[in-house]
Amino acid sequence: MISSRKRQLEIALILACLCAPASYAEPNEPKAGLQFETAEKEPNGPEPRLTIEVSDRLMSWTSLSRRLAVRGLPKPTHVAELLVSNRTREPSFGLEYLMKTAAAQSMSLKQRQFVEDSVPFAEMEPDEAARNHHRLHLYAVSEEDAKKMIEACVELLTDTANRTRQDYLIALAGHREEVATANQQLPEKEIELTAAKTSYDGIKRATHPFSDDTEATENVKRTILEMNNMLDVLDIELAGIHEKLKVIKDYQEWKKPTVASEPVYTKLTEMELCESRSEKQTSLRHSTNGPASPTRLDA
Amino acid sequence: MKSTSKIAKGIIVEIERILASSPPDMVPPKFYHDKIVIYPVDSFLADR
Repeated sequence: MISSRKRQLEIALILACLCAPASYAEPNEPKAGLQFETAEKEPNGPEPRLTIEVSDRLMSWTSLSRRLAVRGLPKPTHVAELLVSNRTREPSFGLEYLMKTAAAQSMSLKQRQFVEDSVPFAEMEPDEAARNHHRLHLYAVSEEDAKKMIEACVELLTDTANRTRQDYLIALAGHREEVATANQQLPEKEIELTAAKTSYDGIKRATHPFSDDTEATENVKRTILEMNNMLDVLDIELAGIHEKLKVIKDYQEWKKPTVASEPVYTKLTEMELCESRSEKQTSLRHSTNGPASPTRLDA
Repeated sequence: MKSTSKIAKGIIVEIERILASSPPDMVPPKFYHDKIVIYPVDSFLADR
């Protein structure tokens, strides 16, 4: 009799232990696995499968969003909650490009309008429970659109990461090519350098034999400056000769050649010779300076 | 030419280091337990 009561008591205790956790469980806990919806493959992620669960726990909307709803904009009916690792790109970055993804193209018109018109279609905050994660909320006007929002978000973040990596790889290839080109040209340039150095040493020995490189350069600069000054003086003289010649020629035309005496002709010929010499000097200076600075030698 | 090559080599080393370290902006998104939950939004709260 006593052993039968004991056994009954034992059974009652075991049943109580088994049922207690179920009664304390959160009533709004997501029904994991009950309404399993989709599983998609991440192209480059370490974990190939991503599961989407649908919960019946109600979530509220932000006050800012409510104010927007008053303006007649569509109201969300569902929100997707993503706990994104901090070790990946922050999802809030670039969410404005969400509607340019392939997944966004299959969203309903209402959802597209909701995303384009209502600013807080997404919210993000650090998560307290899941360390090193951010909680991202993506609002949608239907459950199907919420799934599309998740797809679009994953697509956007994956594409952005891949594009950034690709940009680095392109830059890497460009710099490798640059090094290869430089290495290819280097022997040729070494020969050119040797030739240029020999030529430089020869000129330096001839013009500034007792000066070091710095002093020789300074001397050359000073010489160029002096030559420029001299050429400026010559330019002014030439302008004066031009004007004189013009006046004489005009006078000659007016008075006729018969009037002019022999010394005048001789003087005129001299001046013309002088003019042509000056022009030659000018052309020489132009050829020395090149087209960039036709009137002055570079110091 | 030598300095160009030297600078480019330095940049290459830096880019290779960045690529090897996989910074956050190059890593595809990772989710907590690879699970995403969709909740219904309370229309009453939304209307208030």
